[in-house]
Amino acid sequence: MLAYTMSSSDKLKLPEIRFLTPEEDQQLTDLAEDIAQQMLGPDWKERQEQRRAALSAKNVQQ
Amino acid sequence: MTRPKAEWGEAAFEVVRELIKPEKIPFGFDTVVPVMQFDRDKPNALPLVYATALAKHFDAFLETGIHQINVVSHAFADAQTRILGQPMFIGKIQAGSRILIVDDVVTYGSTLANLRGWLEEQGATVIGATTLAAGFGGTKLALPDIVRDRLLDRFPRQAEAPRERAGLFRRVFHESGSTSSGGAKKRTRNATPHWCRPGIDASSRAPSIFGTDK
Repeated sequence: MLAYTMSSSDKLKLPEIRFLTPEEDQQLTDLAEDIAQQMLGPDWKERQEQRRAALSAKNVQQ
Repeated sequence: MTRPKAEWGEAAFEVVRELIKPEKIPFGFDTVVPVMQFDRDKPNALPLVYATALAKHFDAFLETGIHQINVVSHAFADAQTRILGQPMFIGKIQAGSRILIVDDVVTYGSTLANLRGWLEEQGATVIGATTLAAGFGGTKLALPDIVRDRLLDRFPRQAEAPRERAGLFRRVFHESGSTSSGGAKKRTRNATPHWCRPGIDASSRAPSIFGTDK
């Protein structure tokens, strides 16, 4: 039987992990919208929707 | 609900303005997907600003609906710790999209690989990935030939697992040639590493972790 004992130096360091809260998830969306508005202009959402529709139509055709 | 602080984005604008090199991204794509993630207790603005700038430059669709749903502390973590703390994503992508993934830094490539898997499982194709900078080894993610051959000889079935679990393909193990446009030896400004897959865009001469530069 194979016996193996981990020494303290062998032990894996567990990463710190947590899930986003709904508020944090919303902050991501808000920041993306703020940045897009600043860089792409105030009508960026409409233009993005038009682009999304065009992409969708193209991908359906393919 | 509090809006993100304006200053979160201001420093990112300065960094991206300094480092962005769109001329080094020669392959074709129609959608830009930033790594939307929290860095400890605040949103990481760098990938968002970089992705938005690229979407504007290339007239591409900016997808902001794909989010990393966990916060993983990777700073200074070793490889084993990173394996235990994989980034996870939510959000839908249009099937058939040809995607450029955008992040601020690549180190071991786990975030890019996991996001790629999430997108390709939904029927999209990740054409490439670009980051502003790279950690040590981050621009040479392909396995050395000798390691690849040994892995395939000893674990041929296991080599298929990444395809099923992460949307990777076996040719990842078969093709080599990862190089860096910046030749980064450590976290480096202006590294602008990016990769593409073979056969997607014949005009591409970009360094590749997914394909070959030969």
